[in-house]
Amino acid sequence: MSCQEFAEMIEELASGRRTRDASHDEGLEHAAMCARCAARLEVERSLSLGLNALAVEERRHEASPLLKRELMDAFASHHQKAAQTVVSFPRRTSYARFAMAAAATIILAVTLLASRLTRTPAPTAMAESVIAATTLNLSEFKSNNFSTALTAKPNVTTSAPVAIKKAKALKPQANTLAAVPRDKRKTERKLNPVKTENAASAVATEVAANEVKEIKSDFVPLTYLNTATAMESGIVVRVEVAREKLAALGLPLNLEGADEIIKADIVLGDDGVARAIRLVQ
Amino acid sequence: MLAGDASAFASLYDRCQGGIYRFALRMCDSESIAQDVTHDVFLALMRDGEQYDPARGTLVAYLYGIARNRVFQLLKRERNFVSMDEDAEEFMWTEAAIAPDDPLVELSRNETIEAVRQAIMALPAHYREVVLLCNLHELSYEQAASVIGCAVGTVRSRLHRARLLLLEKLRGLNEVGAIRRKEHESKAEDATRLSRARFAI
Repeated sequence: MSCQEFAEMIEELASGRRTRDASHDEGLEHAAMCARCAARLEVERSLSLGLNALAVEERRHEASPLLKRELMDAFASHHQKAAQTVVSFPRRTSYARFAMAAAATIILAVTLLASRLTRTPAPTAMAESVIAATTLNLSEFKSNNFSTALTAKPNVTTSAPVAIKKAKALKPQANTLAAVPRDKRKTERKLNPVKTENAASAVATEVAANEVKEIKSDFVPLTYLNTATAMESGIVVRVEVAREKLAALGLPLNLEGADEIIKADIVLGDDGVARAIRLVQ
Repeated sequence: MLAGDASAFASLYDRCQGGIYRFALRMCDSESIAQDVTHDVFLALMRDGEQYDPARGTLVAYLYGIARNRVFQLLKRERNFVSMDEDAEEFMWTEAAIAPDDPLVELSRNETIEAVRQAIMALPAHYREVVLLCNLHELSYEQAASVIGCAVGTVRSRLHRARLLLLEKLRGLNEVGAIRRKEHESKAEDATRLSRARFAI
């Protein structure tokens, strides 16, 4: 081995980094024969010892414990945010869509509450913004043809909105047939057939009268829905809402008199998501 | 850890933070910057950990690599950046310039540690980092090459030159130390003579 070759491996020999192999032994043999290389090896070993001593001394230096706490907090919040994103916005739906679905759910909840309130003869119940809920048999109802399906008068199993108002005064239980179980309705008819039939005929009369008086627009499908959410059945909810709220839903309304309350029918699917809306005058 | 296991993150932090912190500390010679670098390294791991590719090196090397990049960014920003030009110190690398005497032979352990530390801090950044990685942090040449982003041969040659430069600096420190010791001894002798003269008078 030449002095040059020895110089190339001297650091590894001195620091003990080089494993014992043939070249390692050759290097040591060269150092035994060459006084200059032996002296350099000793110097390199001394330097390695100095570096090792410094490495041991340096180990007392560590990052502040506060830093660990900070990073652990950051780690927790980072993964919490990630989890929230997954839960809140599945399938990359936008925030606006999520808000619309939430609004529809709230409307449904209010509807159910209103139907419960009508069981007690409380006159203030009429002040509810949701006037009535109507169940629909929408087997032919597809998301792509709301307008035609609904303007063609779907198979309504209960009364129209204003008729329900009147019926409420006569007999509170009769006005929200959707909320009353079918069996209970049958039982009621059997127990008091005359009264129920009278109420029903009164309701039918009011329906006919009201349908003539009311002017309704076509149902406008809510465009954030896709065909995957087509519904088999659902309910129509009559609501009274501020003009600006409807405009916020994307309906082309004049915003003059934004606070003005107007009537609208909303089609809700079984999942509580609003499918379509129409205006009533 | 990437799945959100806090204990795995804590374990990894405990295992690696010391090395990262010390590397940054000796590269920048600033505790606050070393804290910032350590913080940034683990934050980057937390946010972009999926970018780590085990095929390209160990996780430790990956973390040191982030730390190194951050250190050089900060050094550049603070205008303390040392030139990466290798030729700057090239004139020293002749065999004739290498003295065979041991500059550490007469020093105590504490003096040795302090002298080596000062010599390392006086090295140019590209030599200092290989000494820190290979000699103080005991990374292999391959790991150091992965951290620096160069060939293993480059690490070997830089380390060889860095150690020669260290020895030169230690000799310089020794000479300065010897001069100071002589000055101190001569002052002590002067004081003794003066007191003897006063006593004689």
